Amino acid sequence: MPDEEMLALWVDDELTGESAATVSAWAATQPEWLARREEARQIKQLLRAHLPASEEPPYADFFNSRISREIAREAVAAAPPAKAKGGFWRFFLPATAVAGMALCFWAGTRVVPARQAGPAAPVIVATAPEPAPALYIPEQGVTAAYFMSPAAHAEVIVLNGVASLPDSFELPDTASVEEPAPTTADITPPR
Amino acid sequence: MNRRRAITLIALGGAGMANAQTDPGRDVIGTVTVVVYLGTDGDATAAGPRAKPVPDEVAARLSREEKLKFASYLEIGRDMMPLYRTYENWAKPFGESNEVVLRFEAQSKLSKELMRMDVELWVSRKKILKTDAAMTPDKPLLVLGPEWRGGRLIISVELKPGKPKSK
Repeated sequence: MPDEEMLALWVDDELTGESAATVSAWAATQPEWLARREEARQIKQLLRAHLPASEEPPYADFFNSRISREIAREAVAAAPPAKAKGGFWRFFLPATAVAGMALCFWAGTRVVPARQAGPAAPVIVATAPEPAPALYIPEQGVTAAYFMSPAAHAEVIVLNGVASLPDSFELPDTASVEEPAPTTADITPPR
Repeated sequence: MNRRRAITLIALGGAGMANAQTDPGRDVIGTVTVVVYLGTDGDATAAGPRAKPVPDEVAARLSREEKLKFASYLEIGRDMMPLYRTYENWAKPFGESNEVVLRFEAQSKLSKELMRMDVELWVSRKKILKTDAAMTPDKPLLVLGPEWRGGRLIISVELKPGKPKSK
């Protein structure tokens, strides 16, 4: 009798050549094992009939654009630092840097006029702009364009090709509330 | 049952209930306000008596952007909903009507004031747009959407810190 591993492979039609012939010869007189293999074949056929061979992830465009953006961001963050110089320069550079600083300080005391009273200059910190958001438009015929609008101080997405709301649509009562719209003063601060 | 055993059981039961009630994912980390405006170059009264005029500063802000420029603006819907730490939420600016619905969910916090949010716009029960806009307080996301009664809907989505007073 073949071992369990060989039998399992034979049931799954995974055996080939001499091994397959040997196990098949033994199983020819074993109706129980023949029935098992037949059952396994039927299940496989059923699965092939109902499951696609491959399936796209949901919202593939949205998903892919996000991955691309994150990869780009990681690449910027993981940029390799400048290669350190070795040998003589490794010891000489710190010394020259200190000497340079001292020289600049001395020169500054000589060249820059006396400090004037007044507000300090603002410190400007450059920040990388956030990348544009990913847009996913599932409806056929609809297009979307994103841009930042300094004039309206807003982010804007213009959709074109969207089916109109039916003219028969009536605004519900909730759209006509007479009270003033909630403002930041109406929002309780976070605890 | 002796007294010590009863106290232990009550303490354990209380701790279990408290744990069940404190779900960090339900923490409110902001408030999303959705306002639907109607921008029109035609007859503004076509929107009906329930539409109301917008404040001058809103009209001025919208008309400063060429793509959103219309002769008049009306507010036709509004909703304000909490943004949860991990759960999605829905805003329905037209009340029980599903003509315009927004689904939103926090995605990541980019800085103290910048929050990336998943936003989906559903019009007439169909998903029209999904985006992951980086939202800043007082800088709304304006979506120029479908036409209605001679004008176009402008859907404003704005994130503010804190939680809504009601809801």
